[in-house]
Amino acid sequence: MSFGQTNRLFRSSVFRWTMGSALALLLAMVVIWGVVIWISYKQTESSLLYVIEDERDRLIGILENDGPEEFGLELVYDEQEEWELENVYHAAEEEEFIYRLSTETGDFLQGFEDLEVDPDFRSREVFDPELPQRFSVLSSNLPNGQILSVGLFDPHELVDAKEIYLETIIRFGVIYIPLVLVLSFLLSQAIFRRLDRIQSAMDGISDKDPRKRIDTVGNNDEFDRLGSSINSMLDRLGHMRRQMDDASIGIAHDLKTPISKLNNRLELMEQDLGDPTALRKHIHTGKAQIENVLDVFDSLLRLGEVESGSRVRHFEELDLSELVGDVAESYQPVFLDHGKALEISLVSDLKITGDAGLLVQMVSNLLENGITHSGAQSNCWVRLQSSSSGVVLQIGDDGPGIPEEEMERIFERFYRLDRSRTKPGNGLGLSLVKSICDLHGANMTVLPNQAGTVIDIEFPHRIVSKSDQMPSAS
Amino acid sequence: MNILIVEDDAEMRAFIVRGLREAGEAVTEAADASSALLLASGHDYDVIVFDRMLPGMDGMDATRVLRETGNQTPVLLLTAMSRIDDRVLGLEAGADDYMVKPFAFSELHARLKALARRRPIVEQSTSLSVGNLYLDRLQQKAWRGDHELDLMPREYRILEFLMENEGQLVTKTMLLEKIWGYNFNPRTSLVQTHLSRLRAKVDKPFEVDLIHTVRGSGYVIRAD
Repeated sequence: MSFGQTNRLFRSSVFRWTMGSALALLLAMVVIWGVVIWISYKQTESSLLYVIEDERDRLIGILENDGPEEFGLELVYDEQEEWELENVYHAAEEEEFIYRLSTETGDFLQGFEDLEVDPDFRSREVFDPELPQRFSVLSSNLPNGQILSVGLFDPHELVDAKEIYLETIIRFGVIYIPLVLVLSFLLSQAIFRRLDRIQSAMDGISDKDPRKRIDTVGNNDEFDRLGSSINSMLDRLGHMRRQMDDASIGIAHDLKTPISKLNNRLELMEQDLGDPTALRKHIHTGKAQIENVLDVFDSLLRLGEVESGSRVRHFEELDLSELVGDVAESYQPVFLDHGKALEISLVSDLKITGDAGLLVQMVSNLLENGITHSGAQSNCWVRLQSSSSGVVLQIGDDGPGIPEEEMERIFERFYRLDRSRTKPGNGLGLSLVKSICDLHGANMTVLPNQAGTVIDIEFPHRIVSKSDQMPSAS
Repeated sequence: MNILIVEDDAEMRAFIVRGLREAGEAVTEAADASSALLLASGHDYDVIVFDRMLPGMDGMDATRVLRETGNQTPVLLLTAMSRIDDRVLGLEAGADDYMVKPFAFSELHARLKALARRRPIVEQSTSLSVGNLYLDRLQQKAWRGDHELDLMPREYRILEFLMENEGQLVTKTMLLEKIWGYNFNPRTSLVQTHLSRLRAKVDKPFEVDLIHTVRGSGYVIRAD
């Protein structure tokens, strides 16, 4: 791993998060450990207090029962009324009590003079700073008004609690912090490597090969899932890109052909300048070619308008049976002229909410597809009936049909089964049909496994039908 | 016809004005709505053409103002976009017809003629006749001389519309709007097919043809 990569690693979020959480854990442990130590310290301290209280009570008992003389004997050390410092150390080693008896005003009477008169029980550091010995003192008023202070050296654990605590923390830190560093380095490196792989794969996709995909390990972890969702996004983008390519090629082709024909036509006009009849013919043909171009733009704008959804505002309840019947009957003679038959079978009074103009355009596009693409002498049909979930319009033919593998693409803009683009049309007809369906909340399906092309369009429920299931054939 | 053209685009205006003048119409030009309204208040035009998009007040508002001042001159709106909203709003504002650019000049001329004719008189009469073709609006029947024509309802309506515009060009788009009533755009020969069926009944059995095709534009019915 080069320096640059390492540097990148240290700056990566993964590394910082791992480090951060490790340090937070360390901090939490320091606090918890401190609390534990503090509680055990307090417990030791209070058990020490009991021991000191017992001793005090014993001494008070002697004072009351046996008198001040006996009491005074209890407080001496090696028959000395006044203790030396070395006596105190000795007592500390033997874990014995030390005493101080004071007057009401706190003046020293007997025992160890440096033992302070302290009304509160507490531990303190003692006398010689070289020896970190501590002891606890409890001072109480005796019945005769004097003050008795009883001291006891802290047992070792209490004395050392603070040191133990600090020592543990330091030791722990010395081991833990480098461990955390190493661990977070390794962990983030592992994560980083996988992210790096995704990143370099994506760089490769955008730079060189758009068909390349991110490798997945197959364990379905978050990286695998990220990888597969990026892959499926790339698939969708690729699909859209293909669609756009087709659309651009479609536009280019559909515009280039008539325009280049027009160009030829203009050259012909130049040659035929002296012949008004020929000129008129050229102009007429040229206009038709330009109309072709305008027609493509018109379809695109119309498609855009439908897809913008603005026409929903013009929706109203309409009689779909009447509308479809009207359009289909208008087309019947056109079918006859093309040597085909159109059979119409409609249940009457089926109502939906929609835009009549668009629906007429939709039916007209589908019927014209039947005329243009169904093959010679095909039979076509239009059926309209109610279904459990709405109204179903079926327009079909027994012509060559649509190959299974093309079915998904026929609704794309400029997509044409006729790749040579010799048949009339601009590949926008079915896109418009699809958009009109979408606008009406209708579901359009090309039925599979049919002899020809059969398209079902199901409009959502909105039936106000009296003469139900009465097909009116015509 | 006395026509007022209101269009800010000089090239488009020149195209319309030249075409109309060549066709023998009297044309007045205006480049914005306020001068057009001023002209309309002082002159009696047969028809006014407003561009939808004009600097300042647009064509739709100008039409509304015109109607509010009691001027009932037929108005045709021109627009660059085929949005149905514009169409509906334009007609609501009081325009009588609506056309989308680009258009064929013959289409515009035909529509202007249809607008400028004394519509009420034609529409009120109960019968129409062209040559020996006679149409009875009450019975919804038509005769060629003594011979009654066997017409389908749609064929009757096409014939009636052609006869209302006797001698005038009726375009395919006008027929689609008038007869089918929908603003749609068939790619096949839908209108032609219906016209040829109508002609098979009206003209074919008889010596004189009344319905004539104007190539690339539409149809006209006339007796000569």
